[in-house]
Amino acid sequence: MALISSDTFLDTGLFFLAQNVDRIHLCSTQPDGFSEAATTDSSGVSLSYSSAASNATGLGAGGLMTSGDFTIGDSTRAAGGRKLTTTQLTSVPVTHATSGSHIALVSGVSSGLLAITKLKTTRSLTTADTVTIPAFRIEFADPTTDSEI
Amino acid sequence: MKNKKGRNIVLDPMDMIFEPRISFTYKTKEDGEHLKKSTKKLPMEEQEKIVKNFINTWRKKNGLNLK
Repeated sequence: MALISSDTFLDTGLFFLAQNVDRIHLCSTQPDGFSEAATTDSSGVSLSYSSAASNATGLGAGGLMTSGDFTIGDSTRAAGGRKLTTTQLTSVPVTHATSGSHIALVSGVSSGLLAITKLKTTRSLTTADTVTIPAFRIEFADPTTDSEI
Repeated sequence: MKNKKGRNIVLDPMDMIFEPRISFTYKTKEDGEHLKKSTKKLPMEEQEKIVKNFINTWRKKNGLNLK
């Protein structure tokens, strides 16, 4: 018998991200906590909260993300479930020359590192560059029991 | 103003997929020392009760009041 979880149950975590993520950081390594993700040292590059970033398409005033930058809906995967889709960010200024391999979603308000994903391809960046971060998904599939796997 | 040599680099972030699995741990009536994992050995009413309790506890712990 299939297990059932309500949309409300699965959406709780997704809503939390949509409501709390206000910055997105491109990092040169996997950040270990908020400070590494948000600081502009050799381990991470801040893209979102410099004033220059407010020129980027997709970011709100001051270069901050808002709940309007996320969409929650049904997953289209065979496993079902719910998904959160980020909005595409276009022409985000690169504030530090480094490489980019990870994307961190953080809350500047609560100094929280909330999610990290990787890039398929690590890219070298200079301050003359801008980046486009296409939409990507965070999904909770419908649950299964151990015996169904 | 953007440097003429600057590029607009299109990144390729990976999607994040969580695949939840549900199992229950409980003490058997026969031997309180042993823990067994199973969803099949509990009646459906008991499973629903455990899930509801889990959700309510989680909501309270996280200060959520969802309807």
